[in-house]
Order: sequence, then structure tokens, then C-alpha cells
Amino acid sequence: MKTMKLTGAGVVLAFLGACSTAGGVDSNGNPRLIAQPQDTSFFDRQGLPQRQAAIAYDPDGCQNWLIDDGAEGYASRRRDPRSGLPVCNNQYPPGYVVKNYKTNNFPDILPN
Amino acid sequence: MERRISKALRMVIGGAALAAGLIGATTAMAQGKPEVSGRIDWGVWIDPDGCMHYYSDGGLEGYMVERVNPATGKPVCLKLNTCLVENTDTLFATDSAKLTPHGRQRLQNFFQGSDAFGFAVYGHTDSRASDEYNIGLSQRRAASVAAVARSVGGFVEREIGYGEREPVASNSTAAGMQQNRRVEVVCYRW
Repeated sequence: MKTMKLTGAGVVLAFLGACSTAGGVDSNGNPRLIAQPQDTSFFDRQGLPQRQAAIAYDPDGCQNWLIDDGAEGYASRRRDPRSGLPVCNNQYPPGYVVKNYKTNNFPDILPN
Repeated sequence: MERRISKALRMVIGGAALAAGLIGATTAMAQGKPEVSGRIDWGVWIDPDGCMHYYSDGGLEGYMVERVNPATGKPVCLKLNTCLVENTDTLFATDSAKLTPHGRQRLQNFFQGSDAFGFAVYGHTDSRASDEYNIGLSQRRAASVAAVARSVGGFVEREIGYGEREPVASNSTAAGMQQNRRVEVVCYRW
């Protein structure tokens, strides 16, 4: 099982596009870019599709938007647009995820 | 809301300009300040409610935060996802939180026909009478509307009276005051 995991990680690395090494400051003193909206790898060259996410319940029963964009995962809190309050209920237990969280077919390496 | 957004945007731009200035200064006066470790180009992602988040792809990792209005801490949303805004003149008599038969019927139809898994009910008044009185009146009105939702099996997650504190129009004209006298329902959908 462990070797499979390693192979999976190797596949992921092999498919990664331009890998820059590190952040820090370049010779002109400008900070190096460490993240940008569009990835440079094979699978997710587009930005995130708008208005599309799964809902993940956190341990307090509050909802969060959840997106698996292949190599990256994103999560951000759902808030009521009027009051700004979080959206929390017990319609599902903490930790449960509803609706599709994947935005592409990038191979998923799941924990066992 | 639109004015608030543009104000928020100005503040963001101002913050960015300030940050750029500080970055320029860091090389000269780095003493006592943490080292700059990189820079992120933030993209905007809009959630299914229409609210904005900043995100960025770091290659093997992603980052995301809610966009909030720096002045209020509230989310910044393209359109307010209020699935019902009802003028209280048609729902209640002046100064009353008792629904008219017509108002009750309208609300029943609305809540029965909704596909939301939950509702938030927010009451608002115009600026006549005291702030305290208006908070109470709008709270009682929100509670009346929430009771109708529950009576038809709706799940009300919160009911809040904002009184005169969240106007959508000017209280200096009769037309503006009428717009401010309202009950808003936000629908939480899957």
C-alpha cells in the first residue's frame, strides 16, 4: 500500500508543469511569485469554475465551501450574504461533505 | 450595497498601494520587520451565494480566504442572495407585528414553494421612532414571518431585527422610508 502511495506521488510530480524552486526575493529586491490564480500544470490551467463547490461541515457544524482542484484543495467559510453570519446546522454530521468537490479528473490519492 | 462595495474596493486598492510602498521600503529599512518571503497574485472565486473569495494556486498547494469588507467584516457579495424582500406595509398594520390574512397567505405560498434547506429572516424599519423601539418592532415582525415558515415545515436558522440600522434607501423621503420598511428572507440552498 505504501509503495502504491509513493507511485501515486511520483505520478503527481511527473505531471506537474513548471516547478519553480522557492520564494524569497529576486536580485532586484522584488518578492518572488509563490502562487497565482491559474496553475501551470496539465490539469488545471483554467482558474476555478465560478459558483461551484461542495459543502463541508466543520467540527462546529458550520458549512464551508470545498473545492478539490487536482493538486490543490481550497476551502473557505460560507457566510450569510446579508448578516455575514456563518451557516451552521445539524442537517449532516460534522465532517460530512455533500455535492461534488472535484473540478477535474486529476488522480486523487485518498488516505487509507 | 453597491456604494459599500465600491468603498471596500477603494480600501483594497489603497491597501495594495500601501503594501507596494512598504515593500519598496523593506530593503532599505528591514530592521525589526519580518523578511518578505514571496508574493501572491490573488484570483477571485465567487461562491454559489454570489460572495467573493480570494484564492491562489501555489503549484502543489492552494490558498483561499473570504473577501470581507474591511469596515464591517461582512462578506463582499455580487448580489445579495435575498430570495424574498417583502414590504412590511403589505404584511402588517403600522406598528404591529400581527400579520394580515393576505400577508400570511403570501408568505405561506412563498415558504411552501421554496427549495431552500433553511431560511434567515431579517426585519427592518424606517427611522421614525427610537432606535430601540425599531429594533424591538423589527424583531417581532421577523419572528412573525419565521413562525409562518415553521408552520409549513420550513427550517428557520435565524431571525434578527435590525431596526433602522441597515437602510437600503434614504429616510429623508417618504418613498425611501417605504423601501426601508421591509422583511428580508435569505434562502440557504445546497
